[in-house]
Amino acid sequence: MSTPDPTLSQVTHPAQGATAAKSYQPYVDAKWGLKNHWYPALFSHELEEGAFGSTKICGESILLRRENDQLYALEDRCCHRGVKLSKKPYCFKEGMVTCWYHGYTYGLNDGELKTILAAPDDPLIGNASIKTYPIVEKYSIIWVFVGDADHSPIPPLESDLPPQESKDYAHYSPNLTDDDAIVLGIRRKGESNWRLAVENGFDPGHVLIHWKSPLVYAHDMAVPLGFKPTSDEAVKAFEDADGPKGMMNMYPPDADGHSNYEPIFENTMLGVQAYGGTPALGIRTSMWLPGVLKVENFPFPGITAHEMYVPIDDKSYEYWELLVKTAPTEAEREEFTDRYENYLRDAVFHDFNDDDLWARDSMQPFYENDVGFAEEKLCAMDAVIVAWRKLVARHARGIQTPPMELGTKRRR
Amino acid sequence: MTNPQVLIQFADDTTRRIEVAPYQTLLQAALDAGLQLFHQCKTGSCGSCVCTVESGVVRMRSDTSVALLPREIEQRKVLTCLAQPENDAHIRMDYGFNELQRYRPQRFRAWVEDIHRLNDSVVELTLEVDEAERDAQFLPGMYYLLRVPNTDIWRPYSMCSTVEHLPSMRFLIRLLDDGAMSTYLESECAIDAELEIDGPHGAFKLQQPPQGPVVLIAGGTGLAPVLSILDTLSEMRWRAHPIYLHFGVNRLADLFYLDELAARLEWLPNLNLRVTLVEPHTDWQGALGYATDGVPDGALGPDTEVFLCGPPPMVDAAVSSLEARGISPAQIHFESFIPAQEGI
Repeated sequence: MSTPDPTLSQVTHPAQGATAAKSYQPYVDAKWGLKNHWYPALFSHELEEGAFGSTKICGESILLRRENDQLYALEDRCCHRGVKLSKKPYCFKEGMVTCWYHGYTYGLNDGELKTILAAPDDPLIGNASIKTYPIVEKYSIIWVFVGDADHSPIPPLESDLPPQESKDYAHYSPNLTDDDAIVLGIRRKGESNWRLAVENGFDPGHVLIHWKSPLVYAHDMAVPLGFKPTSDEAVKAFEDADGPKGMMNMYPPDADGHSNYEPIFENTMLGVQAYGGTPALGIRTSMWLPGVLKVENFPFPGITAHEMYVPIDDKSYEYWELLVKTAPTEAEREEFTDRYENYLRDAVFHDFNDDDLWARDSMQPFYENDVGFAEEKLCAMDAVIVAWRKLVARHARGIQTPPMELGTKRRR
Repeated sequence: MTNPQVLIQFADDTTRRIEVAPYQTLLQAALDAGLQLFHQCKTGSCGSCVCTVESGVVRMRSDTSVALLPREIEQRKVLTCLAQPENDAHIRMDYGFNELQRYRPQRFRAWVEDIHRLNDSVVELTLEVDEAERDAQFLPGMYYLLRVPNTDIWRPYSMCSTVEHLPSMRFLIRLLDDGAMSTYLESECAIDAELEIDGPHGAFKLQQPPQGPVVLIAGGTGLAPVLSILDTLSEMRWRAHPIYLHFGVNRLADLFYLDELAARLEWLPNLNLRVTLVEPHTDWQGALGYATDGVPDGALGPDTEVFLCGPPPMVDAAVSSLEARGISPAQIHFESFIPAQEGI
């Protein structure tokens, strides 16, 4: 709506506050994640018919249920004494879940207290409820919308996922949302704040940690030491009102051959050179709110690596790693699955991504109390990280506050 | 037959009288009358709505168990959520009426967390309140009284921070020649110094999410309450309508917080900012004039809410100009700085 007033920056008058104002302060406040967004909860295959599951997202414990081909997501906390229903959920009647402790029984649909096993006439019945969450199953994943109970309307899942690229694009790489895509992957816990994981995901300067990765050696990949932005078009922001919000590192040269990034192959002072002879064509990274990475044409052309970093609490995140390929026929699906299970899963997720995992964990102590956001010394290659922070500060649908059981402790 | 009248007496001897219709519980009648008595479950299980019957006959519905001990029942305790008076009655609550007010003013201690000079005439003072003792709630726009240490002089200052920053509270204080607080801030005040504060006070406040465009007009340190309102809207991710913030000072040297304002332009897509000086200066290419100038027609409609804070001439001028443009007095909230009076 408005652009920063140029007159503000022309004034060199020092009258600044004691704490330097951050152009992305709401991002610094978002320790517990962004609310009113869609997050992955479980892979589809992890919740069978008739099963219960559980997860924790942005500090909220969530009970999941698949019953008669319907999916349900409810607050995983009995309103009676606060225990987790998922510890031992009972189902005595279709459409309901009963707490293992004193038998408080809730409707799966609306979370309302329908009866109490041993107190069927209690006046509390009908007068208490637990929260329910919008839930959808798409792209081999079960997703829940974590946010305010009265948030309306619920945006489509696709507004929180990378958009599809035009199929005419020279380096087209499949998207999670493609009709004929096969999606394979794992999830595991990372011990850092979710923001550090996101920032590491598309950091143009972090390729050094993958320097000696077996994947790079095995395929003689040309991996530079880093990338330096050389134009103000190095980062493209996506801010359409109804579309996904994100930003992209424009690594591949433009159609007219103009480059926005300069790969760094050598540091003469240190006498270090990059190696590898096979250029990686069409690699491009983009990050989308609330924290979905797309790496096009990685590890090989025609494959997309997606990563998602789902806040569990303020100190850990669920790390989702996916490989996506277009596979319209059963034979192609089988072939890719075989290659994934016998090679790519270990080579990409473990050998390669393990290095990212410990790099993020290593940043945690510095940022744990937000000190890092004030004391870090970013350089030119980090411009994209600042761009991401501003994008989140401006477009997040909400900033999650700490869970109520932590008391009145404020988020700063 | 008339409905029973119940006199409710609070621990601080405040009384309220309510009428209870047939089949209504005492609690429901009180809530319907706008009296937010403490309660939780409304079903007799939690016991939090208990009161003592001083006179009259008050029955409790007998179809459920109640969270009262036999000796409590002997002491004429009843749960208001189950209670139905048969005739006029007098009941007593064991808490004060003032405890029902979420924003009742309280007096407590605070410590200087930071003190920072913004320019020749403005100090940014950050206090840390003793949150272990108190719940220092406030609505954005409200103010606290700060006591000048070792005196009986209290001065009102609006917070520029929001409740999200608690236990920190930040104030923007204009320095006055020979002012009691100014003298203290310029001479003695240091980090960790103790101050007494009293609040929250004030009718200038944002009570609920606005239903239309928001116009914020601030002169000088009148920016403080306006910034608290702006940041509260930001914390709510309020994006439903545009926000117009007009900040004006007299001279270039009076400016402050441009960095804070510029940052908010980054994270608030619906913010329109206008900063004005009255006196021209060669280093200023921005707008000249008054903070009240240049409010666009599009900002002013029947659902617009206006918040004005600054010196009385600014506020008066803004109120008359806005009313001339069709804004009703009910849409305008304002607070004028009053020059300090001794011994408030």
